[in-house]
Amino acid sequence: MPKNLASTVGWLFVSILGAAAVGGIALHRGESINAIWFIVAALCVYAIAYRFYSAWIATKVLVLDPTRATPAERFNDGRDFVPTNRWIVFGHHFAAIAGPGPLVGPTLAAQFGYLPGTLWILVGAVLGGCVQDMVTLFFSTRRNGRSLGQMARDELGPIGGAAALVGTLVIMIILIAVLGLVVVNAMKHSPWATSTVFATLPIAILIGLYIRNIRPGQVLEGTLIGVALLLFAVVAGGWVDHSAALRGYFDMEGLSLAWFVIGYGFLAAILPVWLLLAPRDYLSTFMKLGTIILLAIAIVLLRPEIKMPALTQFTDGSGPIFGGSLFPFVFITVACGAISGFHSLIASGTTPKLLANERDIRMIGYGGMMLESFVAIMAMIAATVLDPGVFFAINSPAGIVGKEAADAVAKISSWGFPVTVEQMNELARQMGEATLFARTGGAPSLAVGMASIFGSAFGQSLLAMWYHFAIMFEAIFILTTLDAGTRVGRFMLQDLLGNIWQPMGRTSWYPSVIITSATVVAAWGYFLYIGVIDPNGGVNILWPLFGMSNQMLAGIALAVATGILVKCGKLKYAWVTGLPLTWLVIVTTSAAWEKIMSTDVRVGFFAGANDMAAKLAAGTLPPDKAAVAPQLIFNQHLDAWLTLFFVTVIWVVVIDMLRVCLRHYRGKPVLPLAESPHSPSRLVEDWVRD
Amino acid sequence: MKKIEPEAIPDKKLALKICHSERQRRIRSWSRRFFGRLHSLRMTHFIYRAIPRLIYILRQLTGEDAYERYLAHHAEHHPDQSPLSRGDFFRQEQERKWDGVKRCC
Repeated sequence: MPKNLASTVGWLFVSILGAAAVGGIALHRGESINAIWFIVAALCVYAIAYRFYSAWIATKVLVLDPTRATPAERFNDGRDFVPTNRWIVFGHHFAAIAGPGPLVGPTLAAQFGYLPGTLWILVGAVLGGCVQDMVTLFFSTRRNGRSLGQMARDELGPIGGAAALVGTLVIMIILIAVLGLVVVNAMKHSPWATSTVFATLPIAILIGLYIRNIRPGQVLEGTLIGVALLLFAVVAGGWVDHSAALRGYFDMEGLSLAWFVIGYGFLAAILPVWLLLAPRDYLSTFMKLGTIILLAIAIVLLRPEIKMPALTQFTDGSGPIFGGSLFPFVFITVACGAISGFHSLIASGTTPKLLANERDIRMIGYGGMMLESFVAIMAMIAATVLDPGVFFAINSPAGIVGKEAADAVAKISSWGFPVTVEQMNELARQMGEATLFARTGGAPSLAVGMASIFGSAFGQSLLAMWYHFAIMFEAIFILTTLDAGTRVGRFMLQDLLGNIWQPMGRTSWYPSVIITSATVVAAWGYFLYIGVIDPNGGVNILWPLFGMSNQMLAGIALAVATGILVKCGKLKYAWVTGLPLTWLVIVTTSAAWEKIMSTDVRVGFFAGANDMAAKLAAGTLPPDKAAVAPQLIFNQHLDAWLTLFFVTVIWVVVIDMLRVCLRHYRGKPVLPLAESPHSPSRLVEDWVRD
Repeated sequence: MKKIEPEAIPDKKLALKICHSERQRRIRSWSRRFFGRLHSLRMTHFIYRAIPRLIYILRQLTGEDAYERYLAHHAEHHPDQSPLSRGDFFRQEQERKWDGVKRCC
């Protein structure tokens, strides 16, 4: 058989298999469906998209040029700009883009059933997220590794640039607050989880000292010791949990944990990086990659049954985890994993400085996001292998289903998802927790799902160990995002203030460091505090806000890319980025509309605030709720204005982009392309690949 | 069995050959003990060769080889200046590495 025919037949087979798997998932309406279909569907979709769509973008739209020298080659300084083997760059890039987002989002979106989230993860990734990462990486590479904000300013003008800068700062604050809330909810009243997460701090400091002073630069060695200590911390947490004397110290209220997290964020931002931030990052990267690989192996070995229905009745907007109907809220909830604006910050600025050849952009940009999307699919599987009743019992806040276990169980069973108090108590006992009711935030239910998958695949007796391992794994890289994000926020604020008063811009001037760090921490600390005192769990308000801000950033990145494509004279290909951009604008705008204008008290911010104010005035609120009501009312108003801000920013950037495109189309002068001139690559083809 | 020192043998080609067979013998006996009936020389050699390669990849991924890369670059481009010490280099490197968006959601 000739090679061409063989490849045609092969790809035809992959297409049919993929179509069958996707169709099977979409049309299946039985008791349960095997998770292997999700894996098959995902792998086939990715394979086809990578082989055909990304190759077409690479050759026709972007026209990657392997003979052109990359910034890494031209500015090679042995440190910042270094041409690196593409697999190594792929590893760095993936470790940077993969965070807790793709794990939490699908877990929350599972309240609509498994189908909407899964389809959006697959379609959104191959047509939107991967394209965004790839084109941003390409355009930044052609511009000496400039950041997204700089590219927006160079290509669109000062308005686009300012919008990108402020947008990045705000998204960072919302992101840190919501992630902090997830960690706090996972540790609340759980001595085991709290002591394990607390133990990661001295471990990180120890490894920091080891890498800096005892054995300078021996990262691998230090990290391996650290990982061993982390695993030991999980075991030791179990001892703390069983000891009557010690458990009291670590059995904490949400509010005191929130203060710990806030204090930690401040310390991490002002302490030198080598002491806490860098070693923690090494540890979390290892844990992250290791656990993701382990989860993939376990799912393939075990092939668990998905028990969640394809669609639940909550598509109408009455869901307990967060209010809002299927459209547009599933597209807001699953941001990372489908399309994540944050990635454009990594794809511009960081990764381009390592690329040895433009050809690698396809694999690193498009392929890296595909892998992240696959992580989101695995999170979806881990969330939906639980009995739906158990899933809702863990994730529904006490403010919705009631504080007493019996009330919660009755309410959830009345939705048609049977669950009993005994079942929940038995599960909590197996996981080594006091209770699993109303553990919102997504982390506990994901950990229960992962523990049951790991437990069935590698040994049932260690369920509690697996559960706390999963919690520690989520907590450690949430805290890494938290401290790295606080630090970046601090730098951005210093940069901004430096324009007003010059000394504030000096990154090593201590008064400036402390003031700006405290400002950033106070900003996210406020949202975290409100989230913790909110009887409805806080995640239901913060997560949609985070999703919208993330999609806004993706909109900015896609708008910049579309503008550049049009200015290059590639108007006929502008739909490649224009299509996902249009979708994002529709989604963000309609979500913002609902969040501001809806009369449903669980969806609309103003409606919620007015409802609470009316109840407070009438005196129908219980005393504990009445005490915090004024703060919650203020917060709902603030959130509404923030939402308005996000949607304004995205519209400003899009209109600015359209203005530039229109001027270019009419032949009027626009800002010139900032692309650096072509210089031939002198690297022999395979030298970096040794 | 007595260990053969390669320097003791005048014929370099023969020395290499002996060393090679010596190593092969050690690997084989280790593999027999470890894998028992599953032992196969080809697989064992594959593992034997994969280990240093894996360590090399891990070192690159963690950035542990950054100092060696720096030394190579320094020797090529600034042979007249003396390079930083290992400890100083890593101290500077960590400051530089963390002044931008490095981690995502």
